[in-house]
Amino acid sequence: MNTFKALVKREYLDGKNGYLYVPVILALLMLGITTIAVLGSGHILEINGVMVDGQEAGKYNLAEMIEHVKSSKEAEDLPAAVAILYWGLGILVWVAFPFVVFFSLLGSLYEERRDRSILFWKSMPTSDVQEVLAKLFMSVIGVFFIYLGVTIVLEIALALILGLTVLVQGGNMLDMWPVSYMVQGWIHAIPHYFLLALWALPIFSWLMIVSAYAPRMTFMYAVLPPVVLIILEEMLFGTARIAHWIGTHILGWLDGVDWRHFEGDVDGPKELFSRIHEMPLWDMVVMSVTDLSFWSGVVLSGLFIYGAIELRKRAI
Amino acid sequence: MENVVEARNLSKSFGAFQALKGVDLDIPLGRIVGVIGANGAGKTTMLNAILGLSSYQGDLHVLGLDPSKDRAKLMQDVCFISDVATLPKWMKVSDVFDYVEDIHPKFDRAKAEDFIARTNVPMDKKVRALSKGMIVQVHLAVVMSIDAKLLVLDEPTLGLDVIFRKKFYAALLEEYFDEERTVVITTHQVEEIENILTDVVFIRDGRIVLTADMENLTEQFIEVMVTSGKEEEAEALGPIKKGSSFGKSTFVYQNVDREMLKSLGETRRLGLADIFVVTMQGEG
Repeated sequence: MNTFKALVKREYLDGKNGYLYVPVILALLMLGITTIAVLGSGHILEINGVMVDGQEAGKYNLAEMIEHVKSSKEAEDLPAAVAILYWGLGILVWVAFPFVVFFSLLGSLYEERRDRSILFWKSMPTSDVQEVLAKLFMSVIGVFFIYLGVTIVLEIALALILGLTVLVQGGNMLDMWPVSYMVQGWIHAIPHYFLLALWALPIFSWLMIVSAYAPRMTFMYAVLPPVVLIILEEMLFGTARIAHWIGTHILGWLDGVDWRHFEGDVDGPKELFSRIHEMPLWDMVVMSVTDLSFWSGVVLSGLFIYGAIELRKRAI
Repeated sequence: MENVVEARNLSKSFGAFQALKGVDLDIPLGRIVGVIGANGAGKTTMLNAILGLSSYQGDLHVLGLDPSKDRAKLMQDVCFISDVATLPKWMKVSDVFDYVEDIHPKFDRAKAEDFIARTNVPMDKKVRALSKGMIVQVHLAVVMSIDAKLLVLDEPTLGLDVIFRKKFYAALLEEYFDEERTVVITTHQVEEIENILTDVVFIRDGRIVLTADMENLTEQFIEVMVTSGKEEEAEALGPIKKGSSFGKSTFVYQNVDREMLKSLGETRRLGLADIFVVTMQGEG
């Protein structure tokens, strides 16, 4: 077996709780909530007071509501609206994601030193470069694909439950299966996440070097230095560049993106969906690679990762 | 004969403290070498350098490689157990085997499983749930199933009971060691390994004080329980250590003809631990 693959597999097994069980539990929770919501008494799903065509629609069950929408001028919006609904329900899975990434990076090179298993890992023919990169890969990329996978399964399960509900209520099950929109959503998530991860890479690699260095209390070692620097900068120069830089790399860079696609009113779910998917990925890439802050982050990431590798070489 | 380890002027400092002071050492293939020294003498420091676990000054080649640069490559042919219970606690025994099978080209899983089958270690339990002795058995199963040229054991049996320790070394000797491999061992329980060693290295204060062939060494040192009345005669032969037991004088000699000593009283070979002690005293 390829060494890198074996190392990633080991990282996965080590962090299985956060990587797999947490999103699965959250997905099951969402499925549970949906199922309970669907199993109303009398009506399987009751939606009160929905405004359709500007009129009080009264009480509808899901199938009736869908029929209602289909007969209105918003009919073409239906598939997109359903896909957006699934997205919204799927968000619960991602609530844990940033925490899992943060803590798995922070523990990645610390736990093995703490429990001395590093002596076992080092007795195997794997280099420190491979070890560090495998840990980074699993904590940032691997975990993303697992969460995405869980989300996909959740959306399919939701479509099944709601599709069956509509069927039982006498509607068309396929109305709950906007497959093309669903698939587009999944595919589009990938390049967007990669760009986001590249921006946040200095934060990720900072956590790794702290993990390789800190003798204990990794959280304090990770958080205190930047906080102290931010305070010092404020006190000495009255500026907030470090804080701004960090904020930019976490999500703030999105501010710099040209949001012209979102100017003006968005007319219904279909348009929202198409705007999101026309979302300027290319613009985002161009904006990123022409931004000095982006490149300073890449350089810093390289230094931190190199530092983490060198520290691991010396760690016993 | 091919040398597995070749060190010239090997040094290592921790701040102002010099843990290794210019060590020269050759370890050939097909030996079982005991590295004996007091706590803090530099045993582990030296072994860590050999295993590529720490930096060092001087010239060091292990199987022709520079351990500080080529640890990953070196570990294809070198195995080690440093300290007890370093196996990852979150893994099941079967996960440990899976991992080593994935990563190590010279691991024979069937052999490891066969070894475990002869113990009472459960394959499906996590390492965390095993006793210290069981963890060492799992680790031993792993290293014995890797076709390596050099096996380094740094206090592999610390804290284990005597029966287990005996079994450990017996397994090592019977099932692992051959002329194509070298084993380097450090332990405080010297008397338990002295009959399996082919060579010893005495180390003190970061220096190698003595390297010797075991057979040769134990022949050199003879202890005589001197018959009363022959003390003066015994004294004349220049004992390196004098003591008494059961009311009789016991003199230790180095490189004195055994036949001649037999006339002074009852003779016996000195144990390795005692040889170590007298050598250190003689040196100091």
